[in-house]
Amino acid sequence: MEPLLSSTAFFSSLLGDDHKLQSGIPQWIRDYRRGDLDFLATARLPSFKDEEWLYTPLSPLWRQPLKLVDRLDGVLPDQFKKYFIEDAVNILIYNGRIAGDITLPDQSFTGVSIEKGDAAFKRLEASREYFSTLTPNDSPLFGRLNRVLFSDPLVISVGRAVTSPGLINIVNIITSPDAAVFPRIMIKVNEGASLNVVQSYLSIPDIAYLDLPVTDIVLDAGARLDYGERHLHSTAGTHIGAVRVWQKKDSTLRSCILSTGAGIFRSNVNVILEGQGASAEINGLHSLQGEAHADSHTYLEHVAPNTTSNQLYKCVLEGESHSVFHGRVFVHREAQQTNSYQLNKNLLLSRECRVDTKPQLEIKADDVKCTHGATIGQMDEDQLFYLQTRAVSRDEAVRMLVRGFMDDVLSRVQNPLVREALTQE
Amino acid sequence: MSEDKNILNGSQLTGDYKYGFYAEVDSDTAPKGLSEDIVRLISSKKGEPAFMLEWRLKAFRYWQGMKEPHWANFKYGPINYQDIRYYSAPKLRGDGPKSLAEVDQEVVKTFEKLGIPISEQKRLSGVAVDAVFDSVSVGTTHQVELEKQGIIFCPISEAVQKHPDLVMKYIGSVVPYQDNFFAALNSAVFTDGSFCYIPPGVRCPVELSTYFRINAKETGQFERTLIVADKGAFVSYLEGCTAPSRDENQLHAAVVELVALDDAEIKYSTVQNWYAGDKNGLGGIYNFVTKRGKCAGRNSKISWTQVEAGSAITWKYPSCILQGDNSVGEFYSVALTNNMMLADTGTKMIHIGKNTKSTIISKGISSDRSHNSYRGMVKIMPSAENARNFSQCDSMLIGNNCSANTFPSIEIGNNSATMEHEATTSRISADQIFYLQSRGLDKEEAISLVINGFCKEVFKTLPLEFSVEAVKLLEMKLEGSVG
Repeated sequence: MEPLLSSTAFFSSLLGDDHKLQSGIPQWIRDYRRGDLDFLATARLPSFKDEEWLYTPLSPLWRQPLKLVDRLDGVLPDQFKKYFIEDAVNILIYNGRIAGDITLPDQSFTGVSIEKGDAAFKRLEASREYFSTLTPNDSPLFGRLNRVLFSDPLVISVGRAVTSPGLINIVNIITSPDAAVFPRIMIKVNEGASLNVVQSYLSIPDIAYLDLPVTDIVLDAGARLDYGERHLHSTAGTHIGAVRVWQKKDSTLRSCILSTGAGIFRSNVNVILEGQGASAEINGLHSLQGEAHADSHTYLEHVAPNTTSNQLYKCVLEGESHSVFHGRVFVHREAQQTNSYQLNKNLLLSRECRVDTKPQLEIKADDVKCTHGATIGQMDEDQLFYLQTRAVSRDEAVRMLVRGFMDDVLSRVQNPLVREALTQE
Repeated sequence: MSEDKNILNGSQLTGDYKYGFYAEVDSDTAPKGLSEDIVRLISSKKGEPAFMLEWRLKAFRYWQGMKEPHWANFKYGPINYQDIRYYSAPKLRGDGPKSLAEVDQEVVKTFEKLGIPISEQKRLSGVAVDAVFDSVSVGTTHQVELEKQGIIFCPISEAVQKHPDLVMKYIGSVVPYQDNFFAALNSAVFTDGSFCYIPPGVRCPVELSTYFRINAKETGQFERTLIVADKGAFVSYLEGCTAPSRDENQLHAAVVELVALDDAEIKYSTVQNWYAGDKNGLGGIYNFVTKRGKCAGRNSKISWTQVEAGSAITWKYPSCILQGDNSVGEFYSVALTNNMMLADTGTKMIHIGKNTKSTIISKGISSDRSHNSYRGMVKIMPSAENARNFSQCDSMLIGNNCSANTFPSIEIGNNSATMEHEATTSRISADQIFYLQSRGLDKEEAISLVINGFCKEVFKTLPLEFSVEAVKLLEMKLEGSVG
């Protein structure tokens, strides 16, 4: 039997004093928190026996004493300035807290509202049905941890039929060692509206921390979201993030997650295609070096007929890095004419790296086209040889081929603003 | 599609074949339940040497501390292990029906459709075959020829007595009794099964089959098969048959172990068509089997081919441990489920040696209200330089109340590995059926043609006569299931 979460240093440092958790939080959220705290107090630690955590050992996390950051302190180091994008709405989440006021620069953001503080809590209350949901395929532990510990929500919404051509750039930065941060973001795109959002997760090198964000995305009928995430974590950091998406009729999601891994890196993407004709494209690209680790879990649930999902996850591994891909597609009986494609490709560049991949299909409807594939391989010697015969040095040839391997994912980011933000530098 | 029609047709196969004709007259039957005494009784009845009893008891004690696993993608009712009779003396001849006329006509029709010869029909349906016919059976003829070559092929209980050194060396070497709940249970109480040893450099001249083995009228409930191919040997082994098999035991927990030494090759083919219960899922066999082969030597090869078309629940993963350098593992499977059947099947390929290769081709077809899952693992250990795997898992759904699932697990610990996995799920395309119909085929024929094409890669690895029967078997099972 696994030990209790409540017996760990992790628990006592974060949840030991529950008065602190309740200050400034509306009553209706406190009601959820009471249940969550009861759950956490008796929860067992997930281990390799737990299918969801089979390949990602969490034991270092539980030993780690962490601290909640109460106040914003210090000035933002210069090195992060370059992640702010001109002409975009830049929102800084600094050590888990939203810093400064948010200004919407020009008319390209009319109809867009971005709220924090009390206004954001009110918005969350209006979308309680989503807020109250716990991620279905994840170990419920982390969803509840975020719900108990978040304090500074951010809600972005776009009015009906508003096409916002600009970019919303959310920059999460952690500079405080041993910080535990719990960003909570909700993006609501109303009927027929469209929006572009990019999130960057950054930290100063080599510090340990826990980054546990939850991003909820609701796409109403005919809505479209172009979404990107870029992760440049510290090698000692832990990121366990969830992106949860609910898609109504004919809505479109285009998403791409890039990372260089972390000490423990876990990205959960859950998409529920609950309206007819909804389509989701979920792509990911990890480039891992040293002892970096990256674990991508995707869960695509086709509830309504005529829904489409497309997934391409690629990973380049060097050093002693470790990549995990666990992709699950679930097609309900009613979801006829579903098309679902999933592909996971891994390129191994060193001897010591390790890949675990688990693509899964669970299908209850008969009129569907679903495929998944996974490949693991090395650099093609023939291709390297060919390039060398053209007077390209071996190192350069390797770089070119790796670039080609990765470009496959990047070229799928259709929105130029999102692509530029993700690939900058 | 018309589901009702399908169910009607299905009952031709899975329907009511009668079990009533075995009278319980044996005086030599152990009481129900399992205890150390029962294990000792089985061992003494079988006249086993001490090491075997020791091993059985160790397995039994280990089993007592284990919990029944429930992780598979299905639920089944509780099994009462104290309500099973673990030993009964071999059935007397003459208890069965006296002629084919007494056998359920539906079963006879099925035999005819499959094109099974009359003599075999009798054997399969338990009709007492007259002694004259039996004595000239193919079985005896083969037996003589095998002995000449030094091949040992006999019931495992006989092997324990006659070749204890071989049995002691290899039993449990691939599936140790600690392996899993059902393997432990099997190790403690197995009473039947085959033992096969091919001496170095011998290529077994015939396809060995439980058919040919005299004294093996029935497969036991806890069957144990051990096949050893010594250096440079080759054997092709067939298990089961396409005809629906009669059996009164609900739980089948068999263990099959294969060992291939240097340059040896074992080809193991199974066609399984146990009673699958009625259309509402009542009754039927629980087929919980542990099958594993070890490519222990260099350049060895183990190839599994299975056609799973029966049993209420099938839960098995024929696997290969690729330990020797350059060894090869193959898995070809067609799993068909209809009515309320559940199948959770697949394979594990564990690459340990250098330059090891494995191929997985799995085809799942589900219809009616059945559930079909592929579950597999490809594990490439850090020691397995240049390992290569190719996996393909295709599923076909017929009807809207069934499900098809794919759960592959891939663990790669060596960068020189190359592996590819792909899976598809779809239904029979209406375009293809329309095209074939426009060429004058009726709908049933068209579907059968498409299904055959879907399964071709697997069928072509089966021995010829098996392959023909397997095709017919699928056609018959899917009669009336218009996609």
